Order: sequence, then structure tokens, then C-alpha cells
Amino acid sequence: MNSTTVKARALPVLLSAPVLTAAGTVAAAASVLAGPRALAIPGGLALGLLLPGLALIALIFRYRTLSAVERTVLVPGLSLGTMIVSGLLLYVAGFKLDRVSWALGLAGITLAVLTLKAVPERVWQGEEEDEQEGPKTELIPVFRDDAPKPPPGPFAPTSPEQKLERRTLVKQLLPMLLVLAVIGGASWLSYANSHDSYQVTVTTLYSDLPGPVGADNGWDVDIRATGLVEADGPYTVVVTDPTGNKIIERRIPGGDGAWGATIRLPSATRMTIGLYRAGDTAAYRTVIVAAAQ
Amino acid sequence: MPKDDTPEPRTPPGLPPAPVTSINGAGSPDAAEAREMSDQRSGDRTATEEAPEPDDRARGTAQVPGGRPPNRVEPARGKARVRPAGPVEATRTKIADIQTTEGVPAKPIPPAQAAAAVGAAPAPEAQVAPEAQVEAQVEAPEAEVEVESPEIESEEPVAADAEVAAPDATDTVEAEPDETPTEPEAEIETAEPEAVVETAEPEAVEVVEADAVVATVAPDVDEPAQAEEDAEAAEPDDSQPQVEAETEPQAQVETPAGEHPTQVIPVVPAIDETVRIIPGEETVKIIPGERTRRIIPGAEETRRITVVPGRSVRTQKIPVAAPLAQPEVERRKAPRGGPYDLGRAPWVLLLSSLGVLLVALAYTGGRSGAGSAPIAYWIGQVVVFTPVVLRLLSRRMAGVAESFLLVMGLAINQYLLKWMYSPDQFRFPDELQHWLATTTIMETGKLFQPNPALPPAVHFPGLAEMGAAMASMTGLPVSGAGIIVAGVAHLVFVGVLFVCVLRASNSPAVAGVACATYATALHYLFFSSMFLYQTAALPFFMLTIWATRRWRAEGGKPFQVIAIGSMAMTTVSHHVTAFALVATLLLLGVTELFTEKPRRWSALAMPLIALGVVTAWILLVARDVISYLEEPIQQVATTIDTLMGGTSDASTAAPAAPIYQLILQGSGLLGLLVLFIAVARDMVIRRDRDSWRWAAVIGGLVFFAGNGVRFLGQNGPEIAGRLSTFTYIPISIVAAIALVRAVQILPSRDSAGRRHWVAPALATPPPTGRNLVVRVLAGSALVTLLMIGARAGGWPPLGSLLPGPYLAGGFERSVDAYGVDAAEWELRVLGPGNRVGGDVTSVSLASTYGRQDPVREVGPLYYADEWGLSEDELVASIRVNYLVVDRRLSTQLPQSEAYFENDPHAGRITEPLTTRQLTKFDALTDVDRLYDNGTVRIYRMGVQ
Repeated sequence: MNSTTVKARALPVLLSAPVLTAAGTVAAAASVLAGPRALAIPGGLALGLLLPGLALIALIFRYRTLSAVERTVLVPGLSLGTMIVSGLLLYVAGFKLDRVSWALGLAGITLAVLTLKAVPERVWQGEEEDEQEGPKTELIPVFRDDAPKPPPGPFAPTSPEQKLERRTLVKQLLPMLLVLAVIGGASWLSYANSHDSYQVTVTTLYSDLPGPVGADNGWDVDIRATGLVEADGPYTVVVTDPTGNKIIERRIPGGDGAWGATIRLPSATRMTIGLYRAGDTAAYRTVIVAAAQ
Repeated sequence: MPKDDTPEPRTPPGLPPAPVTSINGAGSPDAAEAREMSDQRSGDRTATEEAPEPDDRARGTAQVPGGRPPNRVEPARGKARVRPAGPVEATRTKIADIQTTEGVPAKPIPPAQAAAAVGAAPAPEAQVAPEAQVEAQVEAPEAEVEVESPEIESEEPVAADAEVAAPDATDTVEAEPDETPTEPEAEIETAEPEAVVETAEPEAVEVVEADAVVATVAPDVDEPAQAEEDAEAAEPDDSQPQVEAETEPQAQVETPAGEHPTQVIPVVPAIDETVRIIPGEETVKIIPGERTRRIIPGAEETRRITVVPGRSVRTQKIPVAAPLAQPEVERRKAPRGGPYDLGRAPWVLLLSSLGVLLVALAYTGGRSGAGSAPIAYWIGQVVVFTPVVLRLLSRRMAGVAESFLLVMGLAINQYLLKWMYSPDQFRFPDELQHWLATTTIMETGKLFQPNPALPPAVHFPGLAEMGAAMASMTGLPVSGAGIIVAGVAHLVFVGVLFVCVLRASNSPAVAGVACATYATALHYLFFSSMFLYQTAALPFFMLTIWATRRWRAEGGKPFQVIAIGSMAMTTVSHHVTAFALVATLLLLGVTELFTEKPRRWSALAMPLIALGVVTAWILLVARDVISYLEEPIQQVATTIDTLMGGTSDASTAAPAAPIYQLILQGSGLLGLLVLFIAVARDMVIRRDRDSWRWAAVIGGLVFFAGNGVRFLGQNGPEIAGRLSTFTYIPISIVAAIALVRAVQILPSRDSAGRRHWVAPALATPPPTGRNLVVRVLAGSALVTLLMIGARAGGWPPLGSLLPGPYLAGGFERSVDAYGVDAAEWELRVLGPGNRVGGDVTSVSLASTYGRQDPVREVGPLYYADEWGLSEDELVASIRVNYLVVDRRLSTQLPQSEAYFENDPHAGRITEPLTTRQLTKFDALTDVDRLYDNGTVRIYRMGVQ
């Protein structure tokens, strides 16, 4: 067998679906584990939703005919199932479920399945025949007239009808570009609008749980304010007792919109802490610290 | 062949075939399963052998009357039926004679006469077998005409202008060669301008425009008889020939000089399917047709035809008329209905996507409070949905590829409608619960971690696993990864449903319409496509059904592996779906046992395995699910008991739905019921024995029964809605069968004028013309009505169909920055695990974003006008540490008829909570108000 023949046979083998799936699996796992995020996203999607299903179909339905539609839906379906199974296996095996374990687990299952598919059928049926004397027999595929024809290889010539079908398909798919543009625009519009409508400034005043009561019968209370708007400032924090007397009044300096301080308050009295904007006569935000029990 | 390919549970030979019905286009759907489904269209053709699919049949017959473009490419099929017009001058009686068999008695060629006519032809060779094969090679590529000729008295197949292989050919050609040469110019009566020619190839039914039939008999020395049928494949378009026989008025037929005389004989078709060629009638006037052919001796083309006497092949040359120049016509380059023919689906989806844009604009308007937003929403919903349904019902689809693209495009568009409601974060409470489960896995790296927001979900980690894996590997946030996972799972579910129905019905139209009808389920748009564990389980549910179907049909370990694996995944993902899977498999198995003879007890294998898997998981892993499901079931039982006892309890009554909503949903349900009854009646009368169709009918019954649950108690509507996620599948299939197969809704009268239990004809004519249009429009209107009813009565509720500002008790509409900030504060400042109570939204946010332990029985604390001893006792008994008070509860009535979970006033709230009720906590000396953002306040109760 000369080198040309070897190359001619090796190239289609290298470009066969299982080999391509295996190569894609390795590439996807590498992009997830070591690649930048721009590569991790497609790599993770392929590793989670595509490659395990391809491998499983190649193994399980080796001798079965599946329609194109069935393959289309089975690939992501089986991939989803593989994620569940791999998670359970990793958990049972005691591995922590993180990026590394997920990527290696899914890639490992995919490659293992592809390896199983590469094993010849005779291995599963035993090697008895090899032990026999005489010429070795080799299993060759036999295609009957009514059996489905084997799928064409990557270099199989395309007939004019196939070319015509492809051209027709491309023409028919052109409107799908418009579809993608329309739904893409609609999605962007909706996302931007929802995001903007959610982005409101929430001004809060809160206190942490008071600390222990000190010897002076007082305790430290952490008071914090967030979401302070500069246009509403300057803000003022006022601490009053139950009778309305101001115990403490502090002016909050402008800054990054947040403020916090620890205030020593009497623990035997229920105190009210109010946050006032400029010009407010009533508290804008209020927290109440009950007396120590 | 590997061992696992042995079809184990195959139907044993000798099983009587199920009678052909109008709803099983293929007599045996399994017969087509061996074919490539990508070649589904050809599979449909096969199905038409027994019961032509309405769309195909319509295509063949609807065009007959006329008005059809002459060059229109249609698939040829069926048997030839040529009924000629009578001569112009002829009397009515003569015309009738010509057009009927009775009027033209058969004149078989006497062997001796035939031999004398042709010279040395032996008598036996002058007889054509009844099913003669007539083959001819013509310029028109592979036009097929089937000629069955019981009256052709020649054993030699007659060479004709088309290849005829015809067990069912119907044209009878009787050639009576006359010794007297025919007059050079013979006027031959033309046949009807358009006649239906049906070839033996079942899907090759084609309308043929036969202007005239010219037959010449050219005796040859070596041949006993020659006959030429001037039937030309008028539309040699690809593989779908259109046959036209034509001639010119006053066609001149001359005997070629120096050769045998050419005899022109008129073709006189007999009744319906018989064409008689009677020599001797010399002057028969030709009715001009659209196209004619002149036969000129000496100038005609000579074609080589094959004559097949017995098994040998001989060829001879006969004169063939030279076709006149025909106008150029535009012909379709690619055959319609190829495996990759998408038909009009991209354009239909383009229109549908405009509906998505409309809904997006409506959502934008809803967020800004635009008044026209609801109008845009409803128009958008219809634009998204109805064009796809119209196309699916139009009977003009190209095949599986177009139907599948339409279905998946619709599913994607509708999923986008759900996603665009809240595209930047999860807001629905259940989604938040599973967001927490997923986040917990990512944080801890372990499964089965406690989830206070939804404790039973701990033992069904399928969805959370997928979300965590996707988020971990891609680096996307959990919400982004969850949207992808839920979307893919939803699409897989729809795709497998399509494949499943396609396998069962062998019709892409039925599969597509079934999926479109299922899209009108109450919870399809939101609940079945959210980031919920049911969404994760549904594709495996359908995969199990699909694999079981294929295993029952053709056997094999691959399908067993897929079925068992899928049922395991279903069990690991969602409890209710797992129960529904067991019930569904049991239904399928039992119906198979009852309908198919002999009984195959292996039909119960899958349901038993499923039962074992589910039982083992629940008993060994998820024991808490029993108590989780016990409560709603008990509530329904209590309500039934109350109703049976004649008493009424306001707390168990379901909130009344608006009258227009009831009308919408009721109309849709009524339409479904009519279709259901029509299909069931058809199956009963025809004694249908297809187990899967019977299972669909029984499942449809369960659907209608399940709709009654909605009136049982406060949780009735929710239970009915969730039940419909599964029971809507069979009723969708039944509705699709009725709509696509044109099952008779109103039975025809029999001879006695009775309508009831009259067996419908085996081959009822499909709707054509106006009837077809009416049916398509009515079907589309019904499915659209169902969709509108589902949107109005499903999820989200009608009051919060559009996103927008905060709504009390509005679930998604209640989640805003104020509530989320409070929940995040709880986690940041208080730490996880505190017992926090509040309204529905506050508890949901606290248990997810806040990681708190939710307390759902706090309603009485809020409804109390004064704080008293009972409130203290309640606080102590439920051990609530913190209460979240949203001040907006005092400004709005709850959208969901309840402010709180386990609300004691649910369904009876007529006024919002008062400010006094909500501010009474400020006066409690032992209570701290630790958090205030102006809208949401958080109180620390005295219990620690």
C-alpha cells in the first residue's frame, strides 16, 4: 500500500463524524478550562448541549435509522440528559461540582462514548473466531436493496439534484435572516427597556443589630444609609427619643451615595433614627431601635 | 446485524389490519417508519395508497373543474379517467353512447381478422393481456400513463408514448385494424379538455388535460398490431409528470409513402375509465384543444419504443407526431416536497416574527403605562400564532421540513414572548426558587443541598444540575444560563412532541397542527417554559413516549435504552411529571392490550419499569414529596366532600373568573369537544384498532374531566392548569386529526335519512375549493380562539399580561428594585436562615435572594387592626423572626386574590389593607424597625 493510498484513506477517516466530534469535544473542553470568556461561552454551550448528544446518537443508533428531525431533537435532548447523569456521577464520586469537574466530566463521557463506538462489534461478541485456525474472517457491511443507503462521506460527489436542493435551501433560508434581524431587534428593545425600567435608585436607611449593652447602659448601633442622591442633599440623620427630643443630629457629607456610622445609644430607651433630605420636615427614612430586653 | 436489532415485540403475522379510516392516512403508520423520515413526503404518498391524505387528495381533485393553469406542476397519481366530449354534430344520444360503455359495444379483434389485418401476425399475439404494460419512450421525460386493458385483445403490450406499468390502469384500448386504409385526413373527436388521469403510482395522481386522443395502428410485418397512444406527458416536470393527450383540429393523418398504412382511429372513451378506439369512423370532428399535434407522414419524428411481448423485448419504429411549438412556460426547477424543502415557512415565520416585535413594543408600552399597549399585545399574539396555524392547515405544505420549521419557529417566537417579559432577571417566584437551587450548587459544589424556598426540589436536581453546569462552563450568570437551559428544554419538548405525533400519524400536517394546538395550553407559554423543574422533565417525558412508541413498533435495544434512560431523567427532574409519565405509559400499554390481537403483554413492560423507577426514587431519595403533594390533594378532596355534602365554604371556593374569560375559554373548549366527539365517533363506527389513537381519545376524556377540577377549591385552577400540561397533549392530537383529516363533524344522512351511527364512506372526498377554504379558516379561527383563551386564562393573569410597575400580589409584577434590595439586605446584614414572613412577594424574595427561611402563615398578623395576645401567640408559634411590610399593600388590591400565601381572606378581599394595619408594628415597643427604603420595611420581632 503506497503512501498516496494511505493518505486517501486516512483523510476521510480523520474527517468522519466521530473523529470530528472528539476533536470538537477536546477543543470545547480546552476553551472552557483555559480559554477566555469569549471562547468559554461557545465551548460551554457545545459541551453542554451538542457534543454529548452527537456522541450518544452515534453509539446508540449505530444500526438504526433516525430521521433528520429526530436527530435534531435528540442531540440536545440527550445532551441535557448527559449533564444530569454526569452531575450525579460526580457527586456520588465525591467531586466538587465546579467548572473543571463539569467540563472534564462531560468531555470524558463524550470521549468515552465515542471510544465505545469505535470498538468493533466483534469485540463485544467475543474473539472466539480469532482463536480458530485458518484464515481470519472480517465483517463487512452488507447493504440490501431495501436497506437505507450509507450516508455519503465527506468527499462523496454531489449530484446535480443535490446541488439544486442546496441552492434552493439557501434561497429559502434567506428570509430567515430577516427573521433573525426582527427578533434580534425585538429582543434588544425589550432587554434594554426592562433593564432601564428596573434601574431606580433605592435610598435606604438601616441599622445592624445592636451590640452588647455596655457598662454605661448604652450600646453601639451601626447606622447606614445607601442610595443617597446628591441632588437631594445634604442629608441629615437625627436620633430622637420616644418623647421626640433630638439626641443626636449629624449632617451626612456628600460622597459616593452611601454613609455609615456607629452611634452610641442608650439601651434602655427606644430610639428613633430618621434620615432627612434637605428641606424635609418629616423623616424621609426611619429606623427604630427598641430598648434592650 | 447486531443482536439488538431484532424486532422483539413486532406484530405477529396474520394480525388483521385495522380498517382504513379517515383519520389514519396511512393504514399502518409503522409501515412508513422504516423509511427515511426526511423523505416524509414520499411517506405520505405511500400513506395515500390506502387513504389519501386530504391535502394531497385535494390537490389532485380540486383542480379538475378548470381554471387551473395549464402548466401547473402537480404530482401525477392514480388511475386514468378520460371522458371524452361527444361530436359537435352528434345527437345527445350519440354523445351518450360515446361516453358510456353501453353505447359502444366492445368489439374484440377476432384473431383471424387481426392476423389478416396485420399480415402475418399469429392470432395469439394479437391479444393483449388485461394488465398490459405499455412502454414508450418519448421526448417528455418519463411521463407515465397507465392503461389497463381487459379489452385489448393482444398479448403484446402496446407501445405508447408513455411508460405504462399498470396493475390498476384503466384505459381500455380496443384496436380493430381495418384492412381498408384510413382516410388520410381524419377528424378525431377530442376528449374532454381536462380529465383526471390517475396512474398506478399512488401519489402520482394528476390532472391531465387531454384535448384529444389520437391512435394510430401501424401494422408491421413482424408485429401483429401496433397501437400508438398519443398521450403525451404535457408537464414533464421533474418527477411529477402531467400527461396531456392532444391533437389539432382536423389533424391530418396520412399513410407514410412506401410503408404500411397508418390508420387513424378515434378514441372513444367508455364510461369513466374506459377508452375505446374504434377504427373505421373516418370523419370524426375534432374539438380543438389547448394544444394540438399534427401527424404528418414523412415529417414526423420517429421514436423507438419497446414492445414487451411476454418477457422478451422487441423494438420497432412507429411514426410519432411532431409536437407543435408550445409557449415557453416557467417550470419549477426543484421538485416540490424534497427532504429539505422549507416551502413558505421562512416567509410565514418572518410574518410571525413581526408579531414578536409587536409584543415587544407592547411590553415596552406596558412598562411606561401606554394605553395602547394591550391592543398591540393581542394583535402581536395573533400575528405570532395564526399565520403559522394557517400555513399548517393549508394543505399546501412542502413536507416534514416545512412543518418542523414552522413548529420550531413558533416555539422559539413564543419562548421569546415569555423571555421578553422579564429579560434581565428571573421574577416569577418558581423561577427564583430554582435560581436559588442552582446558585446553591454552584456555591457549595454539591447536590441535594437544602432549599428553603422549595424543599421538595432538593431531591429533584435535574434542572439545577443543568443550570449549574451551563453557568459554570460558560461563565454566564445563573439567570442567563437558566434562560438557555429552559429554552433548549422547552424546544426539545416541542420537537419530540412533533416527532412523536409524526411517527404516530405519519403526517407532518397532523404533527404540526398538534404542536400548534398544544401551544394553546393554559401554561404552555409561561409555566411550561420557565426555569422550573417541570420544564426540565418535560422533554424526557416526551422522549420516553417517543422511544416507547418506536420500541413497540419495531423493537430494538436502542429504544429501550432511550426509554428507560429518559424515564430515569424524568424521575430525577420532577415528581409530578414522573407520575404523569407512569400514568401515560400505563394508558398506552393498556390500550394496546385491549385493541391489538393477539395480546402482547410486553406492552406493560415500560409502565412497570417506570413505576419501579419512580417508586424507588421516591421511597429511597425523595420521601418528602409525599407530604408535599398531600396538601393540595387533600384540599381538592375536602372541596369535593363539601360540595357533595351540599354545604359551601367560602374559603374553599375558587375565585370567580370574569365572564368574558369564561366565554373565551368555554368557546374554545366547546370547539375541542366537538372535534373530540367527531373523532371518537369516527373511530367507533369504523372500529378503529389503533391503540395510540385510542389512548389519545381516552387522554382527551381525562382532559375534559380535568377541567372540572378548576372549580374545586382555591387551588383548583392551578391544579387544573398543571394537569392540562399533560392532558392537553392527547386532546391536541385528537384535534389535529380532526382538523387535518377533515373528519366529518356532522354525519351524513343515510338512505333512510338518519344521521346517527351512519358509517362514513371509506374514502370520503377531501374538502376542496370553497369547502377547503372554509375548513382552513374555521380551524385556524378555533385554534386562535384557544390561544386567546389560554392567554386570557393562563399565566400571567389577565391583569398582569404586560410587564409594568409594581402590582400587589402580582408575582412577576411585584418584583422590583425595592423588594430585591430588601431581600439582599436580609442576606447581607442578617445572614441566611432567619425565619422571615411577609406577603407573597416578600417571602419569595426573602427565601431566594435573601436565603431566609420563609414563613407563610403570617397573614393574620397583617390583617389585625390591633396587636393583641393572639398575635403574640401566633408569632411565638410560628417562630417568625422578621416581618417584611410593603407599604404598597395598602394602596392596591391583590392581583392574585390574595396578599399572602395561605391567606385567610383569599378570594374575598374587597379593600386593600389599611395604613393602620401596616403601621401598627411601629408602635410595638419590643419590635425594631431595622430597614426602611421608603416602600419596604423590615421589623425584627421579639422572638429570637
